[in-house]
Amino acid sequence: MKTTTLTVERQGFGRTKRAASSSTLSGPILRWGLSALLLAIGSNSIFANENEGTHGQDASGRTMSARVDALIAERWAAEEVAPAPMSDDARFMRRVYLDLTGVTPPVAEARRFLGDAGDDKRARLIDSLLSSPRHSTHLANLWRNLLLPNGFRPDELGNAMGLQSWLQQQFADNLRYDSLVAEFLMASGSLENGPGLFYTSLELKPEELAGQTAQIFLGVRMQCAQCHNHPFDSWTQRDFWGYAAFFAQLEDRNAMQSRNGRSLQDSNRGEVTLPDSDEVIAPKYPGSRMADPAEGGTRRMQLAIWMASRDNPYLAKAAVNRVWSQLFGRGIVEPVDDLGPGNPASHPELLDELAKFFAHSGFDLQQLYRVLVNTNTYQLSSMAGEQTDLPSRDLFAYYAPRPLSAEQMYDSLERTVGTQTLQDNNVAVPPALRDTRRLQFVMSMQQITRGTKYELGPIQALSLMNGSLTATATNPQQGTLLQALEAPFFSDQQCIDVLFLSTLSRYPNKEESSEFASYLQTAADPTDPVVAADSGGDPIDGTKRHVTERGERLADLLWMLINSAEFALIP
Amino acid sequence: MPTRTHTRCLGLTILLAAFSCPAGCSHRSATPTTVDPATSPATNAPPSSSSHVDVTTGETRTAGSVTPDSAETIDTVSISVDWQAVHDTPPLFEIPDELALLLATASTESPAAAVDRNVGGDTRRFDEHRLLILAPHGVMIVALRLSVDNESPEQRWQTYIDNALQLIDSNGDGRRHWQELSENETFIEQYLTDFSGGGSMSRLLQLKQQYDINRNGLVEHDELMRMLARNRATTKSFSLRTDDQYRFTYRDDSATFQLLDRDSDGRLSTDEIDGAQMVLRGRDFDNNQLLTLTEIRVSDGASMTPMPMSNARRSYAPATVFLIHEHTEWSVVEHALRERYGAEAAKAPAQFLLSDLARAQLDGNHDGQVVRIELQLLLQVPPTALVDCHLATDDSDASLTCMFAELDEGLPEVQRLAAGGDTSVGWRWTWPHFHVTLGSVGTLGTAANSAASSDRNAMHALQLVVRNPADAWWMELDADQDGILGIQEIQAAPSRLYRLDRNDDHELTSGEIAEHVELLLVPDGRYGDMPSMMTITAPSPTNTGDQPAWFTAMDANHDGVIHRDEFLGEEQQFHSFDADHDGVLHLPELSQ
Repeated sequence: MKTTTLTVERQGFGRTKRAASSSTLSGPILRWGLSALLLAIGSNSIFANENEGTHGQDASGRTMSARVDALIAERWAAEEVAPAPMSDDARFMRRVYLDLTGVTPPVAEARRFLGDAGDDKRARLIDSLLSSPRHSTHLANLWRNLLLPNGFRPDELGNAMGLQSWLQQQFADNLRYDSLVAEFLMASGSLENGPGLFYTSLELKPEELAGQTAQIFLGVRMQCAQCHNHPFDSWTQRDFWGYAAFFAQLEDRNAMQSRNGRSLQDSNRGEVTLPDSDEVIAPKYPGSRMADPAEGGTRRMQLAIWMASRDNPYLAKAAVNRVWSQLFGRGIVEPVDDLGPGNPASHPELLDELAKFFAHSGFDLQQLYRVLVNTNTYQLSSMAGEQTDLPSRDLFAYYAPRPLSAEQMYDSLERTVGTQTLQDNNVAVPPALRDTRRLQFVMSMQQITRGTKYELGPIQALSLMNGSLTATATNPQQGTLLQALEAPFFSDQQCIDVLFLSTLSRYPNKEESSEFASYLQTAADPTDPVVAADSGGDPIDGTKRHVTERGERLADLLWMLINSAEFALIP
Repeated sequence: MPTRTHTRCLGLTILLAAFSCPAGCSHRSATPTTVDPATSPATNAPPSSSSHVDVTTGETRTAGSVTPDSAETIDTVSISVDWQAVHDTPPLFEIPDELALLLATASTESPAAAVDRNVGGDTRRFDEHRLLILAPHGVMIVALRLSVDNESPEQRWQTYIDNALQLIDSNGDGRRHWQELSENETFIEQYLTDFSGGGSMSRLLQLKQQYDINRNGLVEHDELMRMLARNRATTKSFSLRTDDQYRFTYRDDSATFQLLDRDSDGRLSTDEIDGAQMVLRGRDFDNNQLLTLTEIRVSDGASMTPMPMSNARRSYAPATVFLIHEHTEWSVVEHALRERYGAEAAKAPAQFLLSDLARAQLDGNHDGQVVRIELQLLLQVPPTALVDCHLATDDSDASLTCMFAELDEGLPEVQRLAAGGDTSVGWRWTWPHFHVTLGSVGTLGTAANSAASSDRNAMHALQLVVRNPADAWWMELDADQDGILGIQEIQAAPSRLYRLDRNDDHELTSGEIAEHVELLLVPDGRYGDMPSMMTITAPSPTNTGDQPAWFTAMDANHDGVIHRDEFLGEEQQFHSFDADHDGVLHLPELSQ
């Protein structure tokens, strides 16, 4: 018991890599109180015996990857489905870059990986991407979108940045997932420093907070039981309001202030009542027991502790299913936020085993990502070849290409063509949320699709063809990629290679090389300067430059590649 | 020879020249300008040599004697202060003629004295304010001169008010009614463009309710000032705002320190210092080989307001900078002196003045002691530094000049802060344990006319904001003070940290970091919207010299070299170009 206690104190609500900072965390008092409460239930903790997360694919990870493949293969055999072959290196590289870092690989790294003859190069690439700071940025983007599905208002930018930064730090530190959820559920203090915007965006309404947190962290749609018992599940109206009661005592101090000074805090006042009645509903853990006031702490603290306990059967499964969905395009349970008897998993055994593995790994998200992207299932080809009758997607017998999210699209385009110019008071790289062009691009996608996916519709296609971002990128005077290709040591073929590597993350095939080269070589006089129409000058120093016809043709080729379907997909 | 650099974008020139003490002692004095010797008070020894800091290049070079031909910068100087009255006690050492004169021109009038100078044939008027800076090693007195378009800001201010008052009285009866004001479209157009009060009746009601303080229906002078200042904190042409009372937090609460202090024990061990490079690289969230403070300053844990670690961490400290004038509440200054330097300091502040000259001035009876009442003499002693801010609505005509008298602690190192290209926003004085950053937020021209504001017609008040920097540890790592850690600075982080280990105990604590105070000149009321100095001192890609466009384009992070990850060519090409095998490509290597 004593050993368990020490483990919880050191790791519980701490970080896998970094000890909990005592300065600006959710407050030493809250943290201490939480730790103390955890001690009381230490023997009941699901992570009492877990191992710390480790870098690299350890034995248990390799075993789990193999187990995932085996369980998937069982279904193939049962369904008499032949899986696709393994993907080639270039497609795998693009896929894993986009899935783990949210952006396509830079040209230099693409060259290095494709030229690497090592047998373990995929595993090495996975490890390097998981330890890259870009990974935490990508996860923060994903989770911010999940927590704020409707985006945020311009006047909420500061709070959104606070949320983004908070998420980024948790993922950079590889904070245990259960601890992350707990800290999120206990967030208090200034709205600008953390998850406060999630709470205020839902106006601190207990029923809204209950519905959203259940959907996000537990993978269940309890809000369907808000007005009546759940029609397809076992949730009752009392279950829902019992869960909502955990958020009933949350207050927004100084709520009347528009910007500064607002903060979240827990009080000891506030209850929820059953709709159309005066009956006060006491806090009750979903699918479990009533909360015991004797446990101490605030209601949200009690909920946070329950979330990380063995009593909670949902947390690990919901997290595993969500990560799977992010990597494979659909969940083991689909939709991902509807775990329940009415919506069975395609691979129930796989979901159970992955959830157990996740819990025993110390809710180590990096390890979970590492296990999944190292599977053969993840690395299957997306090329259908001659096959016309594709197997059902829930068999995961091939990799289903997915469109990039709006943020992936923008960041990849930005990296690809180097249109990034200094802006925002000359800060070289403004934080993503303060990058107005990025915001405009993402918001325009959201307006069209009501989501963050970059759907391959006509409006998006037209936007890519004629949008300002593409126009800038493919302007020989403005796009930095095109300017860089003016370096005297680049041959035509090398320029074509760079265009393909930077946009599609692969070398051109022979046919493509030949066609592109002939287009470049048929310029009347490749070195003749031409008058650049409607060029806005160089974005960096404002000077105008001569543009050669070769430069114009390279711009045409770049425009074509950016507007290809292949560019907009995770292959 | 002093040089003058005009800048187009921000319109701010920093000019600084430091001169060695002519008496050959360790003291040094400074002046950036020379004056006509005919108007200078006589001193016994001419300056023997000078060192000039060219802030545009950062180079310091020794120049010869200051000669009369250098009077081209300022032709004549007419001063309104009686030099003999100020210097009734002989200085303890010799000072250069021009410095003596310039220091003497620091007015003893208060709160702000308008002084005429004939500069290059143009008459220039400025207001002079006096700042008291309680540095760790002693008291500095800084004379701050402000002019806007060669005019006194205070006079511009009064003219602005007078014109408004005159305009309101549309019927010329000598009485200004709120109704007159609300119906005066010319006034509305000129002074209240941002006012959204609607038609005249609703506008009248709103204005009366907001600004007719005494409810007499008449527009009083003070009410008008308050309205034109849009109810902001000050209705003065110049004011000081101190935000540095939590003096220790910017060091202890440094996000950079918390990042490096992996075990959160409040000190950096050798392991943590050695691992600084790796930790910093891990925060490069956009993977561009450049680290911004934004990437460092991510929230740590959930969002509760930081709790105090110790009494010292959150202790309230008196202000370190005062605007002193005849109405100064001297008991507050005395309290600050006592808190800063101990009980004796308040009794004898002269002992803590950095200037021997100033000390001698205060000690009127030569007994080595200065009694409390003599605190007010701080208004009269020669300043230890003189800052000349010439604001201009045409930014290209603005300038910012700084000069130092001799200091016991020696002259500071001066570092130019650039907002980009050849524009400047300020500079930094650096002593071993104390840094002062002085500059403007945005452009000085903008600050002068509030042109950047949507509220174009609000009063042109200026405010000097005193605050601590966002992150002292970051600034220690940011060698070139450009607001960004480049790859070389990240690599050099351990060695720079080791150099901070004052007590050589192989551990670093926040007490070993220099104190830092920022003085930012901002348009009144805009402070809340202002970025920190660090976000406006980032490098600009225009610093590319004569690099060809393709090189600049490939140098994605604009650090002047091409890293392997930036190089678009083949791997073997990179190695063949990298003649010095330092892992990066310089332009000459690619041009061969």
